[in-house]
Amino acid sequence: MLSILLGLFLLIGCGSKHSASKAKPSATPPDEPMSREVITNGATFTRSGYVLGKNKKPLVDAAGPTKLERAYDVRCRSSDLHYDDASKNYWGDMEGVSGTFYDKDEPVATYSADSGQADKATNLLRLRGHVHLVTVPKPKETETTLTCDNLEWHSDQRIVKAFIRVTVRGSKGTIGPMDEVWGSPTLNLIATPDLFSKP
Amino acid sequence: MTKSYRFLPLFAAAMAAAQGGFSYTSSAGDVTLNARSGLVEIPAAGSSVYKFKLRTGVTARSRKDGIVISASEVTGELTSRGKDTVIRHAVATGGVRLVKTANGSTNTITGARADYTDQGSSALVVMSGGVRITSNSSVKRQMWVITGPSGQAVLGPAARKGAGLRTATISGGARVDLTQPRGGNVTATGRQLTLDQAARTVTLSGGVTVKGSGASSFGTLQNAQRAVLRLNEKGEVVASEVSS
Repeated sequence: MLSILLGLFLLIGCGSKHSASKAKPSATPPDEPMSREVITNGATFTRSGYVLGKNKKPLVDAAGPTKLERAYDVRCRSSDLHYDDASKNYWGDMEGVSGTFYDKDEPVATYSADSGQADKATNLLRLRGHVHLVTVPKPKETETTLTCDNLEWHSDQRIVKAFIRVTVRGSKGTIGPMDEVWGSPTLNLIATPDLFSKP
Repeated sequence: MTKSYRFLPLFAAAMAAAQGGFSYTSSAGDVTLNARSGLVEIPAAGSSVYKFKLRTGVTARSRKDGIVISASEVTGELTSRGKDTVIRHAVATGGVRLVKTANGSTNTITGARADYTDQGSSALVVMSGGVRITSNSSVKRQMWVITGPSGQAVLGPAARKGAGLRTATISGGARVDLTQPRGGNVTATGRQLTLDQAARTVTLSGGVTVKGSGASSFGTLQNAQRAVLRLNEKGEVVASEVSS
């Protein structure tokens, strides 16, 4: 939680100097919302993406964030992130990423990759290069490992889409190598796209 | 099935692999599943049964059981038997070809649909749609072909011992062609046919006709109520019992 707040603080803090003109007298029209760019270099940066709960309540109400489910954490070696005032969305590229996928607010898998791309508007996290995903096993279960070149975590749909040289290894056997595989975040359901149906 | 079509499932499986289709290999490598499209559902803790669904150019292979199933679509379940993984149940549709290899003999079942169920000490295959069962034994130099619209077969459990095909029953109009090791053929037809490998008998009932040709010593029998052909270990018809 501390890391989440730190991440938000970093974004807002860095962006505030660009929006200092907002303090102008009210006689002049307010500035148009603007996008800001935050670059972290050589530092570890952590933040979380969120999706709406099943009740589809808004992300933020008068009482603050409510009914939110954590979708993923990202830790990266460096990042180039954009923040848009109007939509309150962020997106951008990250290098040397690792983190955790969440399903119903529970950690289900950890991952690492050469680079990543996050887009809060679509709740989509893209991972590229030496992608390595390991499930967080429940009691009496063993972990399952997925490796591939590219991966997309569609947190809204709770689907992991893996591309190019996809291999899934678990105690029950090995799937692949294959060109494209879709799976549940726990990797207990693995299929080619045409046969995949959401659990 | 002509010789050129015999390799069609192998060709389809090779094409599926070349196009980057679905492939699954069990942890011990004793079960492999290949297809253009596929799905595997891994069970939660406490269950050892996992489901699969395969589509287009399907090949499901169980090395322990000596079973290879090729078809357009196969759905089924895998399970653990000790350290081994086996196909517990499979329903194959569309150009089905099931090959059972055991103890030097190969039995091939083809048809439009096959429902395979592992029963521990044996496996049951219920077939329909232009069923054809052939047996080739390199040891006995024996070959026979059974055809009919539908039927069922009981297979032995293991790949290396026992008879691959224990019994086969065809109903709705059956025909058996027995190629004799010393030359000649025996062809028999009837409404129902039962092959029992352990008893070495082929039993036909309902409008039975049996005809020997070539070097076969069997003559011609027409419209019998029931006929039992007794075979020796080489697959030669050595005796027949007829009731009319």
